[in-house]
Amino acid sequence: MASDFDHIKNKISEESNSVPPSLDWDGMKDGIFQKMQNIQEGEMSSDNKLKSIVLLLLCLLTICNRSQRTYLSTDYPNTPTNIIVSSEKASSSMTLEKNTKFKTQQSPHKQTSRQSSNYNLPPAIEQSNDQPIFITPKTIQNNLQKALPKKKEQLVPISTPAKIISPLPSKLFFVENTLEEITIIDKTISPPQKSITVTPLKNRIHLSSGIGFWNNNFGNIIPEYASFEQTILSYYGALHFTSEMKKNYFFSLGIQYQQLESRLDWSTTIEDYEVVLEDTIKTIQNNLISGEVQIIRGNVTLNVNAQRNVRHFNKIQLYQIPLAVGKRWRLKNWEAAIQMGATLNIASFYQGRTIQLEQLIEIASNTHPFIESQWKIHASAGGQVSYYLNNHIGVSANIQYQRSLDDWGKSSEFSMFPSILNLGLGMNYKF
Amino acid sequence: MVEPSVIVLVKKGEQAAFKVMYQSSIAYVYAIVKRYIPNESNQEDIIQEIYARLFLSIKNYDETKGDFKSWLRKIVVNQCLESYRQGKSPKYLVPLEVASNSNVVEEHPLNELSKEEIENLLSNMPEGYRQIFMLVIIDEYSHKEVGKMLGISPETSRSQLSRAKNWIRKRVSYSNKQKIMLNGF
Repeated sequence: MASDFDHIKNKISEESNSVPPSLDWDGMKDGIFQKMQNIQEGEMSSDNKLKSIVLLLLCLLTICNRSQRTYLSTDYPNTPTNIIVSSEKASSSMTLEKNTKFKTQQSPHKQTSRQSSNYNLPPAIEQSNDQPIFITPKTIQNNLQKALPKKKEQLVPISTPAKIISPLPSKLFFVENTLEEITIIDKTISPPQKSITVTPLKNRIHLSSGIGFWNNNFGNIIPEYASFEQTILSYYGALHFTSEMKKNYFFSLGIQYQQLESRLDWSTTIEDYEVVLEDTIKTIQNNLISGEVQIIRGNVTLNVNAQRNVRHFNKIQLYQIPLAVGKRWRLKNWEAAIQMGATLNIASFYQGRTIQLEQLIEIASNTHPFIESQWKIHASAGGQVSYYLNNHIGVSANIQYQRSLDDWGKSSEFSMFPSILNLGLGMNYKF
Repeated sequence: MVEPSVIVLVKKGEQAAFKVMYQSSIAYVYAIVKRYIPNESNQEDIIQEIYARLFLSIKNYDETKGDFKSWLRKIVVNQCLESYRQGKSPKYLVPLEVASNSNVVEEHPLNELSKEEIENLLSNMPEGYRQIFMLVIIDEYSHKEVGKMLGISPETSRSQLSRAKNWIRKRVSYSNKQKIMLNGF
């Protein structure tokens, strides 16, 4: 029999010499060039979109990096005190830093300028930069004479303890100062045994729910029942646990309830549908002799063609285990996260009515005549934007997209790889 | 089919070479499009789309990797399938009870069919059957490739092909019987 189809193949593969006149070059070239232009424009616009997205992401990354730096610097309140003015008479002390290499580079500057402003230090002292400052005792004496206020009561002693987070030993000039005599003691201060670290809260519990849009995504063959059923707005609820790894990457594990809804609209004609008309006039008998009219009433049975319209709301309930990895960015109280992973359907239940061989059938179990959704894996991707009301509690908006990697079609006659888009609101708890 | 020198000129963007390439390949392209898209009103648009894509992507054509004809065929088939996906050709419905019919197979003289009869037969074939029949039997794609192209499983492709074959056999048998009856009278 294969040879028969070979014959068809050979015959059909023969080039057709008769091309319709409408397909000649002159008639087609304008259309072809127009389409070429359209395709190029489409590609350019998609390129531009891609570039804009990349730019936007770069901007976001830059903003997030900056905010992280700010976060770090504000998280370590005990930045080193560079200058402490010490004067027995003035009840103040001053320490000049010789070699500064701290985790936060900006804070020493800030600190210096803040403190120097208390004493109105001259530009020679105020102009601190990353280079070590070498000041001769004479300069210090001169500067102090200029800097120190004339009235003693205006002085405010700075007694902020200097806590150094740098792991490197810092060599400081300790200056004991009097107005008459200045001696410089070269003193090495060993760093604290333990550096100050701020441990961010790494774990989160996230509870969310919202609406879902879904699509059957049939292959080229659409099953009979699907032409009567259409997907409608659906719902979901989820509880996720996330734990942060290095560099703001995190993994997430949870349980999710997904309710996929659809509406069945079906109508059929019922032939010979029996209708009983009760207490209807069946006959009117007219007595010609007496002139009496007798009405006979009773039930009348009629066979008619009836139209039966059925509308039913169906649902597929899925219990899923989502597993994902993602990355998180912070900006003050805001957090943004993206994640990718997989979702496993561990249980599914079906409820509703569908059409099989032009008959309406009832479904109310964990099996469906046409689809099988249990133990199917979906690829998923999502994003979340959260706002933290305090250190622990935040509110969030979420988006999640899922697409089945497995065919839900039970029969080999058709395939379906459903996709779901969930939009929701939720609450986060950080601990 | 198309001279290598013409391909080089088209790659350079010579407008005159576009015309030569079009004229030397249109018969082949039309024959494939006609098989996949029997609806004549869509054919012109799809052929324009095919040539637009051909001229734009010809710079990617590498003659060392295969001949131009097969490369062109791939573009044409992909574009025809794309037109199904975009809904230029309507999706077809195969009711389950019809699709699950197992047909009685009889031997029929398919070898005796002329090209016109075959074309007529295929144009009347349900679109789902025709696509798979064309892809597997005529264009020799594997069921795995067809599955990827159409978004169906290879098993579905196989079963659809078997039904397509049965459909052809049935039709040929029916028309033969009619012929016999007509000749007999």
